[in-house]
Amino acid sequence: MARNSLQANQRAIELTGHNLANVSNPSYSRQRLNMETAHGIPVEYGIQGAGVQVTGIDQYRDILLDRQVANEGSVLAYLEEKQKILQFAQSMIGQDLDRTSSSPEGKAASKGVSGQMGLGDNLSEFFNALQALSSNPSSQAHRQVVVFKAQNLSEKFNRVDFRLGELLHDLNSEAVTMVDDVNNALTFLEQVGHLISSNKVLSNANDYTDKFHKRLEDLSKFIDVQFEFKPVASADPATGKSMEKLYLKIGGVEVIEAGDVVSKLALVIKDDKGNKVTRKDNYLERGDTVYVETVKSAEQFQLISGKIKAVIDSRDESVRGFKTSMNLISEKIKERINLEHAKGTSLPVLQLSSEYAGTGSLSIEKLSNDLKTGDRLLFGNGGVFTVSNDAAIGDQELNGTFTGVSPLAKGERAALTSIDFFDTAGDGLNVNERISGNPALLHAGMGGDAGNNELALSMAQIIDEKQEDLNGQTFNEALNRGVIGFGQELSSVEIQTLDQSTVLKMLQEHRTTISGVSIDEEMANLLVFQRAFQANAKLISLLDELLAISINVVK
Amino acid sequence: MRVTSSSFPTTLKSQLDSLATKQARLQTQAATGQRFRTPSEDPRAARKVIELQQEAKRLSQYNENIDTFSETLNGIYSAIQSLKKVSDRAGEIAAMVDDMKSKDQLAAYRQEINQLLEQSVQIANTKNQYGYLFSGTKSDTASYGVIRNESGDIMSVGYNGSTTTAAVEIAPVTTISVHIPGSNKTGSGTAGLFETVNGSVFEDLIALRDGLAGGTREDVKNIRENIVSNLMLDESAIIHHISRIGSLEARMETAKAMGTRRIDATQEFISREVDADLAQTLVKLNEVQASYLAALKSGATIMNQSLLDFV
Repeated sequence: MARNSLQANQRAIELTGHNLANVSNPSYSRQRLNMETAHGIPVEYGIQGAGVQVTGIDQYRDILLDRQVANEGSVLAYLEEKQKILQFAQSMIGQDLDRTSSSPEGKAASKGVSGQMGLGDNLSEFFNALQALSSNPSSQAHRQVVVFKAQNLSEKFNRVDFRLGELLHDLNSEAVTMVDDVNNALTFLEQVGHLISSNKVLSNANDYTDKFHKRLEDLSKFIDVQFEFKPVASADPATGKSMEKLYLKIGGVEVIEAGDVVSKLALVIKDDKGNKVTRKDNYLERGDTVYVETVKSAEQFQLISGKIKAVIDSRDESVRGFKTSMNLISEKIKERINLEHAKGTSLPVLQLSSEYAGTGSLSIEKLSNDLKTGDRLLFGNGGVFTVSNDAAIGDQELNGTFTGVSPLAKGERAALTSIDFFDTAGDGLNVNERISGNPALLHAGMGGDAGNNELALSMAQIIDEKQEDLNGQTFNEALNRGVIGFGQELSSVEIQTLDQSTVLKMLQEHRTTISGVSIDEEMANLLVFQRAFQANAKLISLLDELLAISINVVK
Repeated sequence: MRVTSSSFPTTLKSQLDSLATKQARLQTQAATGQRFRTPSEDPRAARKVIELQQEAKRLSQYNENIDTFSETLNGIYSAIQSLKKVSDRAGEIAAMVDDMKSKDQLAAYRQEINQLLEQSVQIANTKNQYGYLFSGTKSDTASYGVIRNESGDIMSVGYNGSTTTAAVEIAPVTTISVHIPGSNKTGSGTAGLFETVNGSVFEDLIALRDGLAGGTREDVKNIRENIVSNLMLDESAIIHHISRIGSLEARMETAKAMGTRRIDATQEFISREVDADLAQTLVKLNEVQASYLAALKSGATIMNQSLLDFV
């Protein structure tokens, strides 16, 4: 009896040590030795007590809480990942509100240290520069400012587009890594699941259960998981006892059945044209988009929470949505400005050095060196001379065809017309190199007069136009709506994250009150077990003394 | 409730995290004077602030435009004042001409009128940093060219500019035209300063000069009966432009004052939305700092106590 008691208390002390060793392990659930009164021995006067016996080790774990922590953790991971991506994207958009930079003095003071301008600010500055040009259309300085502001605007749009493109690429790459992590976790859970199944039979699966739940919670951060250990028909081969096996679903599709992985996550890669492609080692190219499905039951696969869903949602809805809307705005700016610009004329680029009869080449005095084949030159009387080829563009003579009223008198000036302000070739927004190289070619007026400001004014007034393709908003309204909408979404996700984090924290605290180890509690237990051990040792010692006395009596 | 060894540090850590975040935010508010800097922190206010800042920039641009136009208008006004003096003197001389004047006196008047003609051509070709003031939209072209005779006298003055002028915006949907073409004989648009449907300053001065040079009874009669009245019509055109400039200046001043008031108002609105109340911020910062200190102290005290110290 005393020996059994010694062994029981020794085990209890060891188990307390095990608890204390794991006091800082968050995935550990405290364990207790389950001690029961040993079956008594029938004697003539009744049943004599036989001490204590160990019947097993209990683990303090609430399966309902474990499931809730995993599920809510999955939702929180979704929100946190989305928040992280949106914060990242917001910083890429670069809308920083700096109160001090709103005045010219503050702006000068903020230069280089703060007051990063958003897309809307750049757009306003471009239109303001056109407005300023309208006050002095022949000024090279004002023209240069318009070009400079247009370049700033273009650069801002292109940089935001590029950064968001890079973010999309990174998100796709992250999805690839996450899918690998999920599949590795499934393999691990399959192995631990088997160990739990076989050890449960021996009531010895506690530590495997801890491992299982830790990995399950890690997995649930990536993808929503449902699991269950269900009895199976086959018995444990070692003991012949009935067994429970792991069944696990991700995204609504069973991927572990009766303990074995039956399906894994699969990647579908599509190129920028939407065609399915295969990439070596899943190394993505720019423009590739990754979709996730399960090998089995792809059609039933539907993500509810987790980082993978956050990455896909943020990519498809938030980042790509914003990128697309910004691209639409930049395209429309290009289209609208070009449409207006083409109606106007540059500063005069040449004047006739002799009368022109309306046919043949022009005798000219060049005022600009930027004439090219196809250029249309507008004279004051409305006549248009189209330059025929580069080779014949000389300093004093120009080949081409003329339409309009002739003759044109010596000294008549002509201005360039119908060129684009923004390049139409290629992606993005870029100022026509001819204009950025020579702002005199900017079409600020009509009819070729240097002081005519009609075009500068009408282009400046585009800022107030409601654009049909932008849902009837002005360019600024559309930009502000996009940027603020993005901020609104981030703000909403931040609030949800905070709420969800509170929910999860409460669940975790609740779980800790059940499963967590308390040093003081363990120390108190340790004292109890130590004293019990000492008392039983004393009992053996006493019995030994009694036995010795009995032997001596016989002697 | 059962408190375990990990639950207390976890709670303390989360409390400290939250207090540290609050401290950091309040410190940023105190340092920048702003409640927020990114749209996500307060999307509604951010939208308003962005729109107001854009409006303020636009209004500032209008005011800058008005400054530019004022500069041009001052140049024009100064030129017109000079022209008025020319016109006044020419009128005086024309009025003084009669049959009683000797040949020498008429020759002296001729000489003076010739100088006034030269001066008026010079005025007509006044240029500032933005171009020729009286060339209409052809601001890069000298307004008038002259043809002289062998002795260097101006025989005719030809307009090289445009009869149209540029309209400019001084406020949303408010445009004005500050320029005056040297010549506009069409009767529509802004009337010319030197040449209108009613006549030409140059032609009248040339006629007066030539009449004085002739000095015949017929010439004197022509001066008294026709040229004097023509010069008065020229003077009327000049006075018309002077009063027009006055009204333009008034409009621009009003527009600028309204723009400035609106800019001030937008700054006030922006301030209301975005500015942090410094006193409130510092009080809050003090509160949070005190809480942080209390959390650290109480946490350290509690975490220091354990049964381990007594066994």
